[in-house]
Amino acid sequence: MQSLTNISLKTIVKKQVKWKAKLNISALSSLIILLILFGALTSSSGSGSYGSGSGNLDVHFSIYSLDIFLIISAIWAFIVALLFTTKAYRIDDLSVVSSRTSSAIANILVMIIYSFIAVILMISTYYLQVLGVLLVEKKSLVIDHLFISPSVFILCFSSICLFGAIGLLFGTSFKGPVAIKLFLSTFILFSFIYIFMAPNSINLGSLMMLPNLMISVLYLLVATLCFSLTIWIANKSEVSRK
Amino acid sequence: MNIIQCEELSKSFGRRHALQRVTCAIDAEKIIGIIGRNGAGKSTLLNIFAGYLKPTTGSCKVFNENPFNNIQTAANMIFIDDRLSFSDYLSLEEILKMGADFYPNWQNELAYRMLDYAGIDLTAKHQQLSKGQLATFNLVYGLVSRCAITILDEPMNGMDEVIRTDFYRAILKEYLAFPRTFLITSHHLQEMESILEEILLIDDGTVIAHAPVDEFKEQLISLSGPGDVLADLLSETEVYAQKIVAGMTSAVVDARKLFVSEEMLRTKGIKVSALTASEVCMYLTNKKGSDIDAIFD
Amino acid sequence: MIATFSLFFIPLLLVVAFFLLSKLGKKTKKFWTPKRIMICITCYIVLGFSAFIYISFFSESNIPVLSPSAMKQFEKKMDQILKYDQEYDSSYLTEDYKKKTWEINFEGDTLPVVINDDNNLSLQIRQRYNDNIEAGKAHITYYQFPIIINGIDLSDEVSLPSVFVTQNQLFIEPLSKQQVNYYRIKATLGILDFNREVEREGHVIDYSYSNVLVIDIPRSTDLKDSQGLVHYIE
Repeated sequence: MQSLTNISLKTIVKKQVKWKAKLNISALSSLIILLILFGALTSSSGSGSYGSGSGNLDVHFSIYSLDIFLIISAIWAFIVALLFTTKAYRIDDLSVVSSRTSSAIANILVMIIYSFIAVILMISTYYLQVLGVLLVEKKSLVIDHLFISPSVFILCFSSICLFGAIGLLFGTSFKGPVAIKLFLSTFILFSFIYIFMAPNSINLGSLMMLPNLMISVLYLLVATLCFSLTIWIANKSEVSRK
Repeated sequence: MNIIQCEELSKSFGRRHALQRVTCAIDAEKIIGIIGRNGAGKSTLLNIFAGYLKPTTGSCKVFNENPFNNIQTAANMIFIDDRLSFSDYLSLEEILKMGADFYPNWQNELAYRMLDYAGIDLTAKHQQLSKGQLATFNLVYGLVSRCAITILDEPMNGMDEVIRTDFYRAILKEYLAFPRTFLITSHHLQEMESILEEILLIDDGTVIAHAPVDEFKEQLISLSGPGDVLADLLSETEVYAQKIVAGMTSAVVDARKLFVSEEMLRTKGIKVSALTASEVCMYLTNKKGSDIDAIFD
Repeated sequence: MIATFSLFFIPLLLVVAFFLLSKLGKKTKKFWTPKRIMICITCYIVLGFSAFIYISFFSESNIPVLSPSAMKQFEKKMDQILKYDQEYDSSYLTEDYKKKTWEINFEGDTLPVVINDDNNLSLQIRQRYNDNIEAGKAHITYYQFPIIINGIDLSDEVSLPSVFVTQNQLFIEPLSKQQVNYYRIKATLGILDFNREVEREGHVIDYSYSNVLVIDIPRSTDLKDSQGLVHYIE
């Protein structure tokens, strides 16, 4: 009898990541389009504005910061992660050597890679927007910080990663065993009720007081938890081509 | 040597029992036809072998391991059906490149030759192929991967007759070049009979028969002769079908339960004729007492 | 309010955008192979990077922003000035702050002053006796102190009061409110900074001290101030 091939999980995951990252690259191009769209929309008013005054002088500041781009990228990561777990992509995995575990790990690694690229795209769009403002309004431009500090970079990366992780977890859970679907639905229901009934109990303010790196570490920890749960649920899931 | 072993394997989807206490063993390096009516449970069984589904009760072992979510099993198995799908961004040539990347025994040159023979353009996308071309490509994909277990679920669906004949030969030739276990399901048993070594017959979620083709065919025989003579014999054995035409009765009976030699039957004026494998399958899976003519009367 | 609005509006917009893109995607799939998309993405990143290089080297209109430490020093200096003013000492009114001078002529010995300050804008008016001025003349000097709002010195943007003499009365009219727009580039997350600033105490980023208008009159002249807004200074 012919000898059987012995393949390690690592090799298969590497191959799957290579192909998945290449074939799903349209997700990144759609991010660029979204970022350009929102960059153009907010180019006149900036991410936020506030006013101040003294004497007979009223000053109106329009701030150009990374906020809107981060929000867009985070939501994009969530949607893309959700899409990765839909049927079309799942059954594509079955056409090559794969198991539920390898596909889940590959999805996670691809999401992390895409999150990193997303941060870079986000920053590029920001600078393009600033350039646009600079060329139009040369005189009344104030530059507070031009260089994005590494801690802000890491924070953006971990935020986008977190949303991607939550998206993967949601998507995987909805295709998983019935018990998990039930648990997830009740969890979402209760959290919605909780948020609307007692919004004051959720203390986001204290979260923001922490230094950037600590928030990043917290986000990455939660993301890791979501990734682990994703792999655990994927291991129990059945697939069908129908 | 068994590469697939099932013990009391059952699978239910809610209330529907797709498989009920299936026990079977499949040898290595054989071409086996998995035959059964629609909804008999063939696809479910194959999905369990491929590791896509988990048995509800019982066990299934492929290469002595549980195939569910098992990367070692997946590396040595390929499941080809009409729902095989690839990313929109890949042309057929790139799909073959991807297959070569994953399957260690991949034969790319052979794939090019087979697809060229079938007249399929390699620059086309998988989604653009016609039904027959799709089936051809999927079959080629399965053959050139040279996996130890190759599962082909109705591989000839949509192919025209000429190409079907060609590819039956292709399966046989590939099998001879690189022996492996083929599990083929099809509704066209008569075409496939010539390449099969064994037949596994499934009906209503249970395995009714599993035997080499010759043995399988000899299970039932057809007897035809005068009605009165036949009547005695028929009372002693199990009758699968009976027909009376112009005074002559013909019946299909279980050969193993017939304790009369052929010589004896001939002297009594009863003609014995063999059945084809597909006829045997038909009679074995026929629902007793149901008749299509009865609906139209 | 805004948060909930954006929470619903942005995902909706994104879903619409995705839907449109997927529809377009089917037609453009032939052209946009993964390789071409990768090239596109790389070009975009390079473009963004070159924008960054350009901005950091070639942006000339740099309006300086005062750092917290500079603000503290400035504050100290200004506090000293306040002390001078309280002691009626006009020596703090140096040439640095002088913005504009008017010379007016009037008849007689009394000069009524009318200050049209509808908006109650903080303009301090002082009178000072100056022996170097002839009778019938007065020098009015406007001193502009730095106005720091959010770390930016906006003293250039403040409009000068209008000073004129009609019917032998001196009218001082500070101009009405003026609006200025500034665009601030903050390469960080606005939400975080905003919340952190609110908590930070003792950090001064605004400073304004009322500007001073000094009326120098000869000793013989008497300034009639019916509104009681003019104070004496040495």
